Amino acid sequence: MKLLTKYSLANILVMVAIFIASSLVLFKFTQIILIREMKADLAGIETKVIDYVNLHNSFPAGYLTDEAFISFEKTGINKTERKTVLIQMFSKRENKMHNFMKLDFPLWFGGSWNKISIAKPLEGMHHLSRALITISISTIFIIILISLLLNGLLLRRLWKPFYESMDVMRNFKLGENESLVFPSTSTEEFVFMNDSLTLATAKAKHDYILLKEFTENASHEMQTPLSIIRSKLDMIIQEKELSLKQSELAREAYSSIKKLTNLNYSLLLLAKIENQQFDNKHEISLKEKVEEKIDPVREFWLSNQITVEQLVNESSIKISPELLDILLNNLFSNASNHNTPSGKISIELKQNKFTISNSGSPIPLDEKKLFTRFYKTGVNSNHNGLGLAIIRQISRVSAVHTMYKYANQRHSFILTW
Amino acid sequence: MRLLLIEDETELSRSICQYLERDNFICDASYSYRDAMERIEDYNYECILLDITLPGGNGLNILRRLKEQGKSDAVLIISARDSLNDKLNGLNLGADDYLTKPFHLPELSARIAAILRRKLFEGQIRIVTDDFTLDLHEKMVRGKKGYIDLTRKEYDLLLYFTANKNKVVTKEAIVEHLWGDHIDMNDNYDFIYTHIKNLRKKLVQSSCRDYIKAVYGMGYKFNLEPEENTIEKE
Repeated sequence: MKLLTKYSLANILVMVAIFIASSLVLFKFTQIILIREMKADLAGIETKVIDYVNLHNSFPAGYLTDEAFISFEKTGINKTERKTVLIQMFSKRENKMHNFMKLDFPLWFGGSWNKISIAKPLEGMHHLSRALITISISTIFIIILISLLLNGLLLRRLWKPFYESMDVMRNFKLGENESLVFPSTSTEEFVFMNDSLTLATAKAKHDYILLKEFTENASHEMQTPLSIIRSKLDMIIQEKELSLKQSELAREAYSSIKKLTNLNYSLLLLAKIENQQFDNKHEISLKEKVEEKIDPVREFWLSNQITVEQLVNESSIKISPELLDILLNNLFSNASNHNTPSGKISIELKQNKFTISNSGSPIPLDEKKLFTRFYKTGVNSNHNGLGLAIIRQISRVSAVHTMYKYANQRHSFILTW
Repeated sequence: MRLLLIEDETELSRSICQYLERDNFICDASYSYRDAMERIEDYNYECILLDITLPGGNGLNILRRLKEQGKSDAVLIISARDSLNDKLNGLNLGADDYLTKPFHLPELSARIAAILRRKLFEGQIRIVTDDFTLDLHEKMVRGKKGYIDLTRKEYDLLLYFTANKNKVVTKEAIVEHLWGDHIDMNDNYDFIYTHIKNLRKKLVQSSCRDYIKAVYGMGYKFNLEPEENTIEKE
């Protein structure tokens, strides 16, 4: 529910309550006043009747006034009590049962007590209450209607800067250089909100840049000790009379150093891609590039009895040559290294679509986590789990769409652009 | 031949010098920008190995100074920076090659050998041993009984071995040199075995000695007597 709707609803409810209450109070007061008036009226008629009787020594014939009924009744020695009551009587004028106010009072006349009743219709009150209810209800309806209309109009007008700011925020991405531009507004709250958002995003960006710089510096710093270790290993294996055991240890150390070097290289690469350090996009013939890449890996496939089907057609792509190189390397390495012995790889290049599929583990990969950093399927995996993250990152900056599919025991990566 | 190694990491510097001195290079080590600047003023070197990030200054300035003075010292940049821009920058300033850290020492050796061949003899040279002659211009190998028919990979392999003679070279380093280092082969280097085997077979069939020795679990060693190997200008 929108904020304004919530507010209007509460507002309308309270207003309805106040109107109903005030109408009731108004009705009650008017009723009291009317009844008092009526009583005074009846008392006036009473005086007139008494005066008439005293003057003429007889009861007035018929109606004393137009709207008042009057009746006389001999009660003998019984003296009636003077009282005012509300009764229902048949109104000849309106031809239906109606509310009347009746005053009974005693009068000594002709040697006996008489009960004299005067009745006046309460028509006025009936009309009044009806008028009050009609006015109240119509006012409430008008208020609700106006609130709803205002709600719609205000929502669009007053809240427009808010929704615009939210749109800007939704498109905000860390790692993009463009600064956020919020719509200008004269509403103080929105100005405050925009200022806060600008401040928060600027801080997030700054922290992000620091983090990236840290990654890049850390990777650079790591390269030197890695070089030293590698060179020392290169020296160790030159030693004469190296035992089999020592050779084995050195080989394992080499293997780990290679992994660490790759990991470091990958992290640095990710940082650089995010830093947009590869913005030299060119139109490249992908066919040529793919064939060029297949060549060196062919021997690796051959020695692992991996058969390759390739269907490479002409297609061009606009991308940084360096990134394309890395992208293809990673896709090929991926298809090779996660393959089964005597497995299969198929490479298909069509207009604006590149598909590489390989046989592998019979379990489909987790599509949600697949492209995240350090995603690994096995515990003892030989890989750093950054290959696919790099593929995704390169695709992102090169406007290429990547998709993973598992079908017919084949893992496929599909690139479209 | 005299080399100058400008590298601020003393440990790395020591390993490189030790490795190269086995090839009868005289290796001067310089650890700082200022010291390096003084040395290039005072001496001439066949080849300078240059790190870019140095305490006291940028290594590229040393390269600029060399070119200003019109010196012909060959320059091989060794740097932790691996972006295309850094490489192009170095090469445009007149460096002969660019090697990214971390590298294998045999790779460094091969690169230096290639630079020196280009620089000193303009590529018109032959590597001559008792049994075969490697003609770098023609990219041909002649044995005692005539030309030995080698594939491109086998030729490159032989050339790589002659730059790292009498040294143990790992399979990993060979793969990186011949196939490039960016395709991750999962530590599975068995496929180079075929190339080594064929090269050995072809050399032996041409009545060469069996130069290539497998070092168990590690790699290969190309045995050549130091006095046996000469470089000749055509």
